[in-house]
Amino acid sequence: MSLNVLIVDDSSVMRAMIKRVLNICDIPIRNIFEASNGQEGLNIIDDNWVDLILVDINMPVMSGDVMIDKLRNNPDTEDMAIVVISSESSEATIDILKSKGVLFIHKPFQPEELEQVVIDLLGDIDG
Amino acid sequence: MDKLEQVLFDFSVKTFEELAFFMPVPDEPVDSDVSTKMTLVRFTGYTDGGFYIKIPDRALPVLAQNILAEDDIPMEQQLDALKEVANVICGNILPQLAGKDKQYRLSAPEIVEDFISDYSGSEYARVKVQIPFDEGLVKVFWHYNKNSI
Repeated sequence: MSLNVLIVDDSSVMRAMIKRVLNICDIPIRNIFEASNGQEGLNIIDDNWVDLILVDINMPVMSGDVMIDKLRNNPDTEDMAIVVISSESSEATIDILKSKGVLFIHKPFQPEELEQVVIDLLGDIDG
Repeated sequence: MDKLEQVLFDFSVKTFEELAFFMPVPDEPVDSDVSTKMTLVRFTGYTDGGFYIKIPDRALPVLAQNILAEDDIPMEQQLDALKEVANVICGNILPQLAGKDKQYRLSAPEIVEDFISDYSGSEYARVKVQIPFDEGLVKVFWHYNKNSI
């Protein structure tokens, strides 16, 4: 199974960095979509099959937490695999996010950490 | 260094090392009249304020190249790299002010010419550290409203 991954982050540098990490990890990737805020991300999900969303929290136009709420409240997307990648360090905020069924990676992160979280989330992925 | 200066210094060094492979050097580089770029992250929540990083122009392309593992990175993306470093450091250090149970909201980082007036009043405490790297002297400033702490 190869994955369609959506990266949602307002920083083009962070998107490029995550993309690079995905490409060097042992994760089979078919397509990587990019969005610079939650609304752009939702638009991409409307038009494309997405297996995994990697999303930041603090973004203009629509934040990551609002995007997650919209996905979880839509029967078509409520079960989507979501990983938050953020520098957010408030335990209260992180607990709220985790209660929405997402995994959390703290910036800065090591490539192995992202690889492991994706494997944990999606199970064994065969190329 | 007091506790907050130490936190700011340690986490800034860690982030520059891990994201951009900038290693601190023991001798402070000569810093007179160098042209710089500065980024600001505004934060609100339990307390409000601004977080700044000022970096020599000559360090900017190196920072972006190291983060992206690419050459010839356009200026816009070089500035984006600086903004992202600021975003990461700011998000990580804020809980040090009042504890990890407090919530904050960070604005999108912006490039500024100088310190903005919003955080210059007497109610704002200022923490500053300097980090000498081979690429030049990086200055980090953290202005926060001390009345709400």
